[in-house]
Amino acid sequence: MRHHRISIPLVYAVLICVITALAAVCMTTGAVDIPLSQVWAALTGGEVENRVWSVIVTQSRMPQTVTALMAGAALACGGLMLQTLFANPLADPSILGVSSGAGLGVAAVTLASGGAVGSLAGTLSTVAGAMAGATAVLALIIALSTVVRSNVMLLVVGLMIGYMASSAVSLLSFMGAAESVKSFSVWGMGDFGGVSPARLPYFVAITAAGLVWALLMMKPMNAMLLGESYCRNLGVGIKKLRISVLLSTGLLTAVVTAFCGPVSFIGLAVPHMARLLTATSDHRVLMPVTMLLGAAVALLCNLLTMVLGAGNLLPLNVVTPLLGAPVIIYVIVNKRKIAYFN
Amino acid sequence: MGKSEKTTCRDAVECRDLSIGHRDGKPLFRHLDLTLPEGKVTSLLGVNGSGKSTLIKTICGFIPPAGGEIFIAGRPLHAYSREEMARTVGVVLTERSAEGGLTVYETVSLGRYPYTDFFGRMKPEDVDAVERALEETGITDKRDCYLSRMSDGERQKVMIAKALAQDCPIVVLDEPTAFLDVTARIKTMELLRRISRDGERAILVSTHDLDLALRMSDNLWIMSPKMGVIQGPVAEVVERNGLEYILGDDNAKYSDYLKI
Repeated sequence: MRHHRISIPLVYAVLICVITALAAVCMTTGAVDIPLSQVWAALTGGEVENRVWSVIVTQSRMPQTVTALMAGAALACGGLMLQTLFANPLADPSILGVSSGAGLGVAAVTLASGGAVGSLAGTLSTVAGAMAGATAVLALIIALSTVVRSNVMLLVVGLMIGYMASSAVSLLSFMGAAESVKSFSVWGMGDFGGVSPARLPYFVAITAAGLVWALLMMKPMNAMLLGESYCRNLGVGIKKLRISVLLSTGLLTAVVTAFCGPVSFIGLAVPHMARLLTATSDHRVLMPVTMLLGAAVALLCNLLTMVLGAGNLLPLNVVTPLLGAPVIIYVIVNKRKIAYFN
Repeated sequence: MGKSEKTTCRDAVECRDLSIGHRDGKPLFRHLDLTLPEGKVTSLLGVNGSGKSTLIKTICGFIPPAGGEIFIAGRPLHAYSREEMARTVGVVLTERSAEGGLTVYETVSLGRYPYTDFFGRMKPEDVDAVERALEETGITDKRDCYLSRMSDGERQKVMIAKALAQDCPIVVLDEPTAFLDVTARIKTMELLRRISRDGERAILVSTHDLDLALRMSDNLWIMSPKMGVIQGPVAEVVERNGLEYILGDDNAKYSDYLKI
């Protein structure tokens, strides 16, 4: 029984074209439509017919597009790493409780400061809160991972920590002022537009570092597919690898959650799309493809928030489940036919 | 014997005064002196829960011995680094994980893990080793098949091929025939005999299948609740002790053996 595999260089080429096209459309589309030539001129510092267009492109659309691209790659990569780590195709960054931890941090900051999310100081403290919450949950998971040795049990522990964090979030919301609760729930709906041009380099640098870190683990992650004992027998330091996977995933999730809110479904669905597309579980192919596909899907979601909203920007988490949930349902319905599921 | 260099000694594995079990609990077995000869298939027999898996895990270095020492090719086990172990002892387990989406070729290639570079790129000698392993196990024509599309027996062969590609002088198999039908069981044992002869490999197979072990292996290690672990060439062990005596008092247990 031979399987026809799609040519991998072709996949890379198509994905890069798709990403470029989507990025271009994202830059031209919005409340004001700007011609592509003018977008290009604004980005390269050329003559722009309308000064407002130049400001829109450089201050809003470019940062938003780049954020979507990096965040999509980061979330998808985090999902893939967790699915492999837990040998569970339905794992994703939020399962570990890292997103909830970030949410708790944001809730604490937002509600304590009386809902000053609009200001720069407010935004910065939101970011700090998310990072603190995510890192705290992560530290807890890592500490427990040395005691709880089974991956499945660790997954359950992650879920429990997530529930505890949500419980604390509910309590904070219950006690908070109505206004702060609203600004927290706005953050909770997800947005790629929250990264200002000034903070963009930091966001890009941190996510890029996380992505490179993940790419360095492609080989041992393949051994991980065979299960823990086989993996050890091949000479992999399993304990170190698990911690490294958890840390890099945590970093990617925390930074994206801090800047964009808890974005759902990209981490869960994109690795499946990548596996279905490439028909392989080999991380040396799957991981880069997942990153590119994550970037493409996030750009598409970003575009849809603008197009479907007809002038109003829809929350991101309105769109992501519409794309992500059908993929998961498809995978589950067809699980007998899908090689990696059995 | 101190830290002798890697000499070619006849015993691939030697356990001296070995106790097995978890450190904090009561050891399952104490004072085991066992040898695993090169070029032969040794079957490890014992009732469920007698400690077969624990012994295997201890020999593979997955869990530390509760006491005593294990020598692998003349060197103490604890002196081996992870990478050295990966090149010396290859395992085949019943454990299943998320490997269903890997093809036969990809899985067998993972056996080259201890030899390939940081990104797992295969050099010509790695490709050769994989091809050889596929051929030796007779699965060359299934190379592009996904593991999830294969029967239990075929999967077992793939994992044996992985262990062969790993190029280890010692191969340890935990219940490789457990889920197989009769034909597949016999074929697996035949394969193990062949690879033990071909590469002067030492093969240790744990099994429930007394009948098959008696007929197709060279040596036995029997974990007996009554007599500890008995070892030796098949004929010798049977003649010396009588099987009923070794395996426990009641006939029920003995017939269990023959059935499974």
